[in-house]
Amino acid sequence: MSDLTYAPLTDLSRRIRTRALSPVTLIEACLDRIERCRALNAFITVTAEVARAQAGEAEREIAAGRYRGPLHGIPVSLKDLIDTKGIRSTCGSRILADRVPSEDAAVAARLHAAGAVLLGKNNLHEFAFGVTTDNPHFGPTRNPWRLDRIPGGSSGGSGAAVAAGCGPVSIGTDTGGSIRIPAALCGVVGLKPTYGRVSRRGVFPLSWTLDHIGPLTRSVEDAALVLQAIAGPDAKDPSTLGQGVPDFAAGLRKSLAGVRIGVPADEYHSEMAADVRAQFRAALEVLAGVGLELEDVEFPRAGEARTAAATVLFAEAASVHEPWLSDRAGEYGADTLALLRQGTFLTATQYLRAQRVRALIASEVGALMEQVAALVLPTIPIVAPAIGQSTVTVGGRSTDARGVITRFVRLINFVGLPAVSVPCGFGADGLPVGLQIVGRSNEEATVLAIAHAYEQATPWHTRRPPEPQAGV
Amino acid sequence: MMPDPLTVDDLERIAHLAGMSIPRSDLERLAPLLEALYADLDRLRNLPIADLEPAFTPRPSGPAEGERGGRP
Repeated sequence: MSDLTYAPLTDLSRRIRTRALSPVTLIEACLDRIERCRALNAFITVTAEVARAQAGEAEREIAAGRYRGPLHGIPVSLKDLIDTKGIRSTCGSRILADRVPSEDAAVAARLHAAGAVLLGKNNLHEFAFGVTTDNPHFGPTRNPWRLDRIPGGSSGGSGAAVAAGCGPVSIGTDTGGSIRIPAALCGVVGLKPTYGRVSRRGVFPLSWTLDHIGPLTRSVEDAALVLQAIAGPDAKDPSTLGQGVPDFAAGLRKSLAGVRIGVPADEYHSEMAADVRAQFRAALEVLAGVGLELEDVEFPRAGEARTAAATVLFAEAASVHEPWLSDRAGEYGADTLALLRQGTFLTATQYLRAQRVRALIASEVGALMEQVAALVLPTIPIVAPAIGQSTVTVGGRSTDARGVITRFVRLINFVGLPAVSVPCGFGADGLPVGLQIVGRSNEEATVLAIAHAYEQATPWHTRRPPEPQAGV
Repeated sequence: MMPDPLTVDDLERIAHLAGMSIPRSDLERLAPLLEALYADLDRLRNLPIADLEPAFTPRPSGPAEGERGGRP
C-alpha cells in the first residue's frame, strides 16, 4: 500500500503546492489502488486517460507558478449521476447507460476550475433511489470492511472508494441520507450541506426539494476544503442564490467550551442496536469532554415528518420519471420501480399537505435550533447489513432495513439543515458506526468544528479496512 | 368517516387513467403499501397546518455569523 493511498487531502495538497509530490505520481497511485480494489465495484467508469491528462496539466501549471489552491492536482471521483462533459453519466441505470452529457454539472465544473483531477464515476443505487447500492445493472458495490455487506447508499460507490483509499474525495448526493449513510457504514466522513449551498445544476434529480450535494472524505478538514470549492451561488439553480460563503475551515480549531448541543432523547433512542448505542453513548462522553454542554431535546413530530418527507420524495421522484414509467418500466430494477410507482398514486392534495406539514416542522425545528447550536445523534441505528438483506432485527423486532437505515437521516433533508457523519467506532463484526452532527441553516462551520473536535479526540478516522485480497 | 379500503381494481383504473400499464401482480404488492401511506397521510390532516402555505424548499434563513454577502 502506497503512503499516498490514505494520506489526508491536506497533506497531499501541501506536498503538491511545494512540488514535493507530482500530481501525476499521485494519480498513478490512485489508479493502481482502484485496480487492486476492483472487487469493491465502487466505480462504473474509471477515467484513467482523462485523469492522466489533467494531472499532467496540473503539474505543468504548478511548475509555472499558477497554483490554483488546495484542490489543485487532487484526485476526485463523482457519483455517476453528476454530469461530466464527454464522459458517460449513467445514473446507475439501464435507461441512461449510454448517456454522454454535453456539459459538466456545476459541481464538476467548480472542481475542474479548482484544479481537481477526475478519477472516475462511482457506482450508486439505481437513480439514487435506495440505500444499498445493490445495483441490478452494474452489480453491487461491496463494503471494504466486509465484502458481504452493503456500503450503504445511494452514494455507496463513493463511500467504498474513499474508505478503501481509492482517492481522498468523492462527491455524492443526499436526498434521504445518501451521503451520510455510506459515510457511516464505510467509516468515513460525509457532509450534507445546507439545502441550496451547492448547485444542483447538471445533477440528475431524485427529488428537487430534498436533493443535496456534498463530499465524502477521510477527515473533517478535507470535507471543509472540498465544500469551500463547490459551494456558492449559481444563477442557474435559484435555490443557491443569496447565500454568503464563509471560510469553512477557519473555525475548525475554535474552542467549543460551553456550546449547547441537543441530544434528541426520546424517539431517537428507541430501536437502536446495542452496539451502536454503546458507541453513541461513548461519543457523548467525548463531546462533553471537549467542553460541549449536552442536553436532551425532542425533535418535533418526527413520525409525521417521516410520512411527509416520504410523500414528497415519492411524488417528486415519480414526476421526474413520469416519461419512462409508462413505456420503459421494464428497464428499471424491481425495487426502484416499486418505489417510483408508489409516487404515481399520490394526489396533488396529498403532496401539498406534506409540503404544508414541512412548513410546520421547519418552523418548529427552527425554534429548537435557537436553543442549541447543533444536534448529535447516531447516523444509522445499525451497522452494515448483508447484501440482499431486506429486513433487520433491532430491539428484538424484525423490520424493513430501508426504514431503519434512513430513520435518523431523512428528517434532516426535510428541513434542509447541514449535517455531517463522522466515524464513531466499531460495532458488531468490526463494522463502522457513524455519529451525526446537525447544525443550524447555513452554519456548516459550526457542524464541522464540532465534528473536527470529536475526530481529533478519537482514533476512529485513522483505522483502515482490510487490504483487498488478490484475485477476489 | 373511514375511507373505503383501497382495492387492486381501484389502482388498475387509476393506472389506466394515468396512461400506465402495471401488471396486476405488481398492483397487489403495491396496494398494502399505499393503504398504509394513505392512512399516515390522513393523520397529517390533524396537524395545525390550516394557516400554512406549502414550504416546497427549505429556504436558508440568511447568512450566518461571519459570512460574506447575504440575500439581495
